[in-house]
Amino acid sequence: MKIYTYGIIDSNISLEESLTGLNGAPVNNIPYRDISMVISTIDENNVEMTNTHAIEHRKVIEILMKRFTLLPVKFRSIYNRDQAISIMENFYSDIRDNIDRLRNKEEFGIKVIWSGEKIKEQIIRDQCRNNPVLLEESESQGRRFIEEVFKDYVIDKEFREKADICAAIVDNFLGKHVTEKRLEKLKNNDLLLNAFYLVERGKEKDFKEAFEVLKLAPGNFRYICSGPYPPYNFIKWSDPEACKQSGEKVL
Amino acid sequence: MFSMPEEFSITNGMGEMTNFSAPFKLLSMANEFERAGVILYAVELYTKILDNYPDTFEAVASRLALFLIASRYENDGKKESAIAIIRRISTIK
Repeated sequence: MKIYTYGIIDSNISLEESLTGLNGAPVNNIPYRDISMVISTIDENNVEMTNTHAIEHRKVIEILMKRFTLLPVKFRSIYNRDQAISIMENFYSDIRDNIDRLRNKEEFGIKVIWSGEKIKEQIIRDQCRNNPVLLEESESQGRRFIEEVFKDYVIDKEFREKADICAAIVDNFLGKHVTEKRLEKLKNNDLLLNAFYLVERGKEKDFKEAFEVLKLAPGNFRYICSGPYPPYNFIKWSDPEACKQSGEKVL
Repeated sequence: MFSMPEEFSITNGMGEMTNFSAPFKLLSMANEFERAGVILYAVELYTKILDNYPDTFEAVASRLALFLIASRYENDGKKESAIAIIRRISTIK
């Protein structure tokens, strides 16, 4: 039997509530010092994950995050018992620091979508109007190649600069209600901003209201908010490589 | 309050091909002021973009920024300032 892992909580007391996890298996916790890893057993010959498993995983996470400070682990994290204990032993100090920092905080995701292609078309039009030389075709093939590369560079640079400013406008507005943030800009042409915000419990209302205002704002932007989640994107490890290797060894 | 040339350029090996347009430069400055908390200057610059370059991408971004500033003013109880900004956004195209 392997154990399926949901996360680490700030309590070493047995879970009172009768929770069921993947495949209806009862959810327990393995204590270590003042923390514990929340797990359920799983048949090691049948570990293929489905959408139903994802829903079961999420239900457990939602219940845990209401009652504890939860450091979630990735969906599909399967260990054996000794490995789970050794992770808590080896990384206890980091786990403790994260629990203290993330207590009473939740993560929200914000996506800002714009029409990247239209913006680029506009930039090309403006560039060609302001720099007619961009429209001229050189006779030399080598020079033509360099000019094409340069044109792409100019367009891409301006595209990124416009994205930076729009992302800053949105972040400046939402950022006032959060304690930490992680911003990813232009993961693709249309995804202007993919942001993760850490919000203190009690301030979620302000954050959600700010998001509603954002949705009413003028401009051809689309906004998507998700959460609250446990702080998947805000867990910090003093030695991320060692932590990653430890996770890979046991998977 | 601010005066600046209409176009800003960076010269490179292939001539003046990297032009920072006036509205883009204004937008950058407005955003810098906003982030620094100098909101009155930011509002003035965003409004200037709307007045002078209404059909540009920068005007779209400025309208968004002004709307969000107005919302913050409203939250802070500065209703008159909020209304003034919303009026500006609504009257300019």
